[in-house]
Amino acid sequence: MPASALLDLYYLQIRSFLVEAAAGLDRIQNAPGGAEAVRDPRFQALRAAAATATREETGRVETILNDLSVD
Amino acid sequence: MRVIEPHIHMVSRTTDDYARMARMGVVACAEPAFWAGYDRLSPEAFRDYFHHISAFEPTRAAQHLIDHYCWICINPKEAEDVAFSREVIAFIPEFLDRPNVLGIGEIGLNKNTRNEMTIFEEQVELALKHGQLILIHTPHLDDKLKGVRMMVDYLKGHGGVDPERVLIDHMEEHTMGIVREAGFWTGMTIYPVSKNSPARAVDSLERFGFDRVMVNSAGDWGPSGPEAVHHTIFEMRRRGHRPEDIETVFYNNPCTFMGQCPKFKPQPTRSREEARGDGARGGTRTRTA
Repeated sequence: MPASALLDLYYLQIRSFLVEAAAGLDRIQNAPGGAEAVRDPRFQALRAAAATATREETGRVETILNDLSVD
Repeated sequence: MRVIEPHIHMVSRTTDDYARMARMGVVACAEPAFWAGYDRLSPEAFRDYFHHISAFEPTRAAQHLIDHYCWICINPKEAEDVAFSREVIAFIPEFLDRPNVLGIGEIGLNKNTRNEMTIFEEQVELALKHGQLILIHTPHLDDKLKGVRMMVDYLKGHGGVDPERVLIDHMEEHTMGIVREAGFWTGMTIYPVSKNSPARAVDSLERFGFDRVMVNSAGDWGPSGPEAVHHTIFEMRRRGHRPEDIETVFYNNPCTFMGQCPKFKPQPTRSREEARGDGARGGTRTRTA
């Protein structure tokens, strides 16, 4: 399937995932204790994963899963 | 807890959905006139459709002890043809006195065109002329922000529109503030991919408060379902919101807004003033856990 067709097929789903991810991070940061939560390693890992998800080169998913794996 | 589904297109849903809604506590639902998934071939097709939602659907709902109400209009997606739309608008008044018709809706914009705006304005005038409540659809995805601004600017500048009698639907985080600050009622739709998830809708309730807001499934012929409202109720419960605040959003607020039409029968368990007076402003302060 050509990339343009894949973009048609998955645009809304990916848009939804990005919006949900942003909303989830806002939810945690805006809640009572949010300032502490943003320093939690799990929160920092999610932010790093979000940055990886939007980088230019591919291999994003493997990088994210490796980064989220315990040594 | 009793629940009101303030926006659902039951013409596209099965009788099993009425049964599921009834068993989930839905006592009333409201069905706006909308696009059927294809453009109607003639204005007369709308006459049949208006009859369907104002005569047949109430009987189907009643079998499950659900009060069915509806809104009448030509929807924005079919409003691009101005002459066609005006033929439909001409016979809308024939339906406004029917016992389950709450007002004019869901009017609005789809692609924010000049023609759509013309028909939107003409239907606002129709509602005002006949003393009707107004339900407004806002565009999907990338057209939403501009469309909301166009309609809110028009309504604010009109001079004769009471914002308390207008519900602007399909709000998300970037449009909620615009509409609420202008004094209108707001609706949030829960869809699987577009619009809101249950979690995001509850985020907005916590951010903007529980007054002048409703949550709906807008269930139709696409991916959607009446259980979406109940997923949102559960999301509020698991975040520790008080039962009385959940009731405000999912029962009392629809009663208060739609109850401005004397044909709407369900009565709120408490007034907006009572809800406001006990600290129900949304936000983390109202959580019990």
